[in-house]
Parts: sequence; structure tokens; C-alpha cells
Amino acid sequence: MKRSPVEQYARKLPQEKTDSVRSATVKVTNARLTGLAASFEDPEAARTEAAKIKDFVLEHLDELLNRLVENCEKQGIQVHRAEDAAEANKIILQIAKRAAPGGGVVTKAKSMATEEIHLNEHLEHAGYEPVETDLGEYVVQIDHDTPSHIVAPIIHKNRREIARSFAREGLGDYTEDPSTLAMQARAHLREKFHEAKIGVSGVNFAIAETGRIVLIENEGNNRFSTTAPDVHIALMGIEKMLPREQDLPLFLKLLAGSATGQSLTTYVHLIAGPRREDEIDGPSEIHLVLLDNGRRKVLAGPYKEILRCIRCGACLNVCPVYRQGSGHAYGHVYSGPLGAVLAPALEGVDKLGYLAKASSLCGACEEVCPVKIPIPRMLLQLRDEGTRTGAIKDPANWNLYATGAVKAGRWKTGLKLLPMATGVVPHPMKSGWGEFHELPHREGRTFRDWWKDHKPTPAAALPHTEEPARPEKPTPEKKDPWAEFEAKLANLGGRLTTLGDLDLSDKTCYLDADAIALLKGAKFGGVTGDVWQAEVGITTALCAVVETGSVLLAAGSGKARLASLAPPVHIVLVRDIVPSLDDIFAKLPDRTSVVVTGTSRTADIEGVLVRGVHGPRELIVVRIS
Amino acid sequence: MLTCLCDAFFGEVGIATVRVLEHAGCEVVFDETQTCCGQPPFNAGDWKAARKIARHCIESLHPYGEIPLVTPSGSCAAMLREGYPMLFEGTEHPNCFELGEFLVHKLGIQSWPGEVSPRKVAFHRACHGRGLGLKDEQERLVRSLQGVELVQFAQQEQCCGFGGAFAATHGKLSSGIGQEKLDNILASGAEWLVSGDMGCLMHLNGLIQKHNLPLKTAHFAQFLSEAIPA
Repeated sequence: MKRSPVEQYARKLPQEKTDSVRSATVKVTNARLTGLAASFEDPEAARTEAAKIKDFVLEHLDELLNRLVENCEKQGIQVHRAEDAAEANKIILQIAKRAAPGGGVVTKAKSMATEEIHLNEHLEHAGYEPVETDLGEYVVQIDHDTPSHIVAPIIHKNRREIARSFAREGLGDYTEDPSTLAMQARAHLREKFHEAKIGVSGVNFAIAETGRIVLIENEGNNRFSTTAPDVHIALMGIEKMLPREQDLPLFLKLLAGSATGQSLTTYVHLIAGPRREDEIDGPSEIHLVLLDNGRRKVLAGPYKEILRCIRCGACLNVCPVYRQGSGHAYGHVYSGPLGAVLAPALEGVDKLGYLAKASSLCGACEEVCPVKIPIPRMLLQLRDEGTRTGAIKDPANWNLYATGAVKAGRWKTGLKLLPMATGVVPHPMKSGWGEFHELPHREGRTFRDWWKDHKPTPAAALPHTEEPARPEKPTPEKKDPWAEFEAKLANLGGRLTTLGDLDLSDKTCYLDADAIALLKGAKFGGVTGDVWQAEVGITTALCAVVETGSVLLAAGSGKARLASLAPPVHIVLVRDIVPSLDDIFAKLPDRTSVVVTGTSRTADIEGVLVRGVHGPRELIVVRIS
Repeated sequence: MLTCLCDAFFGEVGIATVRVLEHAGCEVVFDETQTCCGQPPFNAGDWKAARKIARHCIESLHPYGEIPLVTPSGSCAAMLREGYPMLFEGTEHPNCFELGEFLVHKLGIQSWPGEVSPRKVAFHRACHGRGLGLKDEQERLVRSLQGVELVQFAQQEQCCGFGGAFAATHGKLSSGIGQEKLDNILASGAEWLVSGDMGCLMHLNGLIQKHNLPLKTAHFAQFLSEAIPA
């Protein structure tokens, strides 16, 4: 019998790879638990609520899509609809050819949807140079590899492999230090951001009610890719909508917590249309490409709940099969439990139904899913569909087994013959089992023999102790919001200070319009109008957020978005503070904004935290009164 | 419900289950026409075969009747509670329980008096407890035995890799997961591996025997039965 490709891959996978994947996934799985517990009083209730909202989206998909399109267009985002991968590629290439007829660099933010349509190949074929700018995706690209995880693309690689690749590409001297490697990538990709006329991204959420496109990330490459070039193209699976802006905090916290254990990703980019006339930078054109590519078909079938997925990767991290085989074992863009359902649901059980068999059905995936997708149930349904349609064949003759199991007489005869059968008859399961296991053999008495003349065991009074009552949670003391914010910020690599303690006398600074007024009389080492050259970018924020230690920045008149991203140090002046993420919407202007939570960071190299990978490595929040 | 594995290979677990239930004050009825719940073909994707077996199981064991159906296997209980509604639409909730669940939640037993010889035990929670909403019921009873020292081990919550036919069709993946579990248990210094599902234990035992690992295995009912005074 032909072995499943997943099993075949696992057999050839060196132990070193399994070890890389296991250590990283175990770490993130533990971080997830702590992260969600810190973000939500009741993570379980949060998951239930999120599942409900995603189901609402799926039930009202067309209505919400129409609303999204209408609201996007209102703010100047051009929307395109693509039935399949071919059409999406065609649309994107048409936009590219208008924007940069001569080809050139296209910076890419990490996006599974663009992987799904194999966009890079199409761009290359048309004479463009697509450059993956997420650290992990960049390594994948220069190694001509494919991502083996939807969140951590190089989870299967160790630092020695990455070091060899960087040295080979001439990024710098050979080093195995994750921080130095990340800085080499930063320097190399900085040039690309400068050069690119087009930036391509995926979409994490799109808000139907307002037409806002939401992108999340930790490194800063995504904001660079979608801010520096003149044209931003965002590719989005049609299911990735949220009805209202107020749904966003729940999903942002669930996604970050489930994916990495963070309270929030470093950057939450809230895009509200192209650059306004009074703004200094940002793309002058934004295109949103809505991708179906089989999704409506999935929505109409028995696996529709898989479209709730928000691509956090928690099910991959916790899956014992994924941990053993890595994402590449699945041979598809979408791997792990998510992929084992989504891939055959999108592309056909006849083609990929075997993926549903590569699971021990342990149920850990459903337990961690932020939107409670019943993955094990769907794996079973896929197995049933695959068996009925002849797409999947099982080596065992279950019909024969059933014939024996429906008559007590046959069953008992079978049991009597069993010791001989396991020894002599080539059982269809025996070869697969016996390769790695000793065969089971009867141990001790048989139950049926014992039952015939068994005397009841004497009953005893057993202790029926009450379960101890849970101690009530003490009500938290009211803390000073700024003190709480300061502690959160410090954990995120930032620090809180005051104007008086700020010394910029030896730094070349870029100041945005609002900051200039606030810093009248301050001494600077120098002032520049070029964000790319500045050592320090000084901006203002609309508010600080206690809950997550974040600051909310918005584009505006005389402001450069890159001031908070390009210089190695970002100083942000802020007066107001709000308790939670829910409160930012009252402050949010009708312009592109960003929630910044700590410094730019990556953990792509062996899970080691490196700060300042594309964005600032220092974040200084200045409280002004 | 004895389960097919205990019927075929692990009679002692069935015997221990009856002794434990009787010791807890239950009158145990055993229907001799019972065979299998249908889970093996159900998991393998052959639902036609699974339905045939499930019908036989319903006829012989009346899981929807008044007498609670108790089984020393979380996965068989899950088959009746979660699998049958997938095989037959609109079926009612069966009166069926995993043994530890029944002792703790139905009989209200929180600890098991009695003693066994001193031993270091690693407890593996079988995954089907997830679907049943089980927590530490089985573990709690084992921990309460005098003589048992329960040890913690790395990645305790991870599956053992059995998965029914998966262990035969995806042998490398399955045994790789199982080996990881055994490595973690051995590193904890445990002499015994105890669980509540003979599927997991059959798989892990197959690996233990293949590699001559210094680890004994038992179903938790066997420990409870052993502690019943003679």
C-alpha cells in the first residue's frame, strides 16, 4: 500500500529539523497560555465571542463585502474582485505595470494569500523583483524554500543554516548571532524599501463598517512595504472581514495572544485610504484585491467553519503531528491541522483528502483555536467523504471487521482465534504497526472467562469530599494609569520619560509638525527633513493605552508616517491616556493610523528575541502635560 | 462496555473496572452480545462499517436507556457521545460515561482509599478527555492512593500519537510522537506509566517492548482495583 506523502516526508526528515520545530512550537504554545490569560479575564468566553462574530461574517458575507467595497471606495481605496488565483495575479500585474512599467523592486509584507496564488513567480516572470521583507520570509526566498509555518516561516531552520545563507548572499561576515544577522537583513532590506515603487501585503482584518484595512506585524517591514512605495496592493481572502471597528480589539488580542503570546503585536496598522494632500508620505494609490479562490465553495459545504480562521498558527504549534513532521510534510501552503482541512476543502478531497488522515485526532487544535473551529470533527468528515468517493483508501478491510462485530457469535469466535491470527495471518495493519511496535498480546485472564463465575466485590463506603471552593479573586487595587503604562512599556522594550529628562543635544532628529510646536526651545544635535537620515524620529501620539502599553499615532497634516519607523530611535510625545484598546476608537481620526506596542522585534531566528529589526530599536514615550 | 481492546487483549482491565464499580457500590450488568463501539472504522473514514457496528452496539448496550453505560475508555465514551450524532443525525445524548468521570462526577467520589506498594507514577491524560470535558478525574483518584507518587513530566498534555489506524498507516509520525512522550516520562524518573485508555497504552507498550524501556504500564482501574482490600 502506498504511504501517505505526509508520512513519507516525516521518514526522510532529519532529527535536527524535528528538534528545531519542536522546541519552537513548545515555547510558543506555553507563551500562548500565559499571554491569553493576561489579556482576558475569561479567554474561553473571548474565543466563543470571536467564533460568533466570524460566523456572522460568513453568514452575511456578500452583504458585508458590498459594504466593505463601498466604504473602501469612499476613502479612495480601489477594490478589485478576483474569482481565482489566475485572476488575482492578472489584476496585480496590471496594477504593477501601470505603476512601474519598467519592472523593478516590489517589496512584500508577509502574506499567506500571496503564497496561495504564487504571486512571486508571476511577478518575476513579468520582470519584477519581488523582495520578501519579513525576516523569515526573506530567508525562505533566498534559500528557494517555502514557508513551513504560517506565522514563523523558518521554524524548521537553525541559526547556522541562516548564517550560511546570509554569508552566501553577501549580507555581511559570517555570524551565528541572531541579533547581528537581523541587523544585516535590516541594512540590506532598507535599500529595497527605498527603491520600491510598489508594496504588496496581505490583510489581517478589513472592517466592513468603515472600510479600514488592518495589518499586524512585529518587525516593521509590513509598514515599510505599505508606506514607502507609491502604490500599495493588498490581497485579501474574502472571509477576512470583521463587521465593526469595535470587534477589532477582541480579535487583535486573540490573534497576538494565540500566535506568539503577546498582548498585541508591535504594530497594528489601521489603513484608511491613500496619502492625503497635506500628508508627507504614504502610498498615493491603494488597491484591495478580494480573493475568492474556492472560498465560496467551501462556505457552501460541510467545512465552512474553517473559514473562521484568522491564521494565528496556534493549531500548528500544538499539533503533535506538525511537531514531528514540520509544515513541509503537508506539501501545501497551509499546513498543520488548519491545512489538513483548508487545503482539501479549497482544492478538493480527491486531490488532498489524504491530509485529513495525517492526524491522531487528539483535539488539541480545537482546544487552542481562538475561533473554536471544530477541526477534529471536520477531519473525520473529510475522511468519510474521501472514503465514500474512493479518494482515500484505508489498508484495513473495515467491512470485514464490521461483519464480525455485528454478531456476538462471530465476534467471540474471532477473539478465540485472535492469538493465532496475530501470529500467523498477515494482518493488513500488521506491517505498518510492526515496523515500529511490538504486537499486542493477550495479557492475563480474559474478561469473559472471569465474568462467568465472578462474585461481586464487597462495596465500601467511599469518601465523598466536596470539591474545595475556589477562592474569590481579589478586586485589583486602582493603580495610577501612567505607572501601569510605564511598567507595560518597559516589558515591551520601551521607556517612559518626561520632557525635562530628554537630551537630544547630540542627535540628528526629524520632527513631525505637532512635535515641532511642543519642543520649541529644545536643543538638538541637528534637525533633518529626511526621515531616512534621521537618528531620532519625534512624533506625537493621540493617546497611550494602559491595557497594552501602546501608543496610538495617526497620519496628519505635515506628518510623515515613516518618522515613527525609519529612524533607529522613536520618541513619541503623548498627553492623554485611555484604559483599554476599546477606547482608542473614540480618538481615531479618519486617517491612516497605527497602534505601536513596544519596539520593532523579531523572533524568527530560533525564537530568539531581537529588537529593532526593521523599525526602531528604542521607543521613548514622553509624557507631556 | 468492555471495549474491543479489553475484550481482545486486556481482560484484566475489564476485570479491574468491574471490581472498582462494585466496590463503589454499583451493581454491574455485562451484556455478552457486546462487541465494539465502531470507533476504529469511524476514525479510519469507513462510516458505512462504523454505522453497522454502532447499530449493534446500541441494540446490545442500550446507551440511551436508564442504566448508565460505563466504559474504561474515554475514546469509546466519546464515540458514543460525539461520534454517534455524526453517524446518525438527531440522536439523543447517551447515558454513557468514562469510568473516572462516572466515579467522580456521578458517584461523587473524590479520592480512593487503600494502598499500593510504593511507586513513582507518570500519568498520561488520554486525548479523548478533551471532547468529554474531562480534567483530572482519573489522575485525582490515582494520586489519592497511598503509595503512589505522581511525577510531572515535560509536555504532559501532548498526545501519545496512537490515533487508531493512524499508528499503522503513519507509523513514523505516530511512533515519533510516542517516543517523545516516553522520553519525557523516563526523564521524570517514573517507573510506571498509567493512563485511562488502552489505545494509548497498547501503542506506548508496543514501543516500550520494542526498545526494552524500563517502564511498566497500567490502566488506572488496575491501580484502584489493586488497592481494594482482599
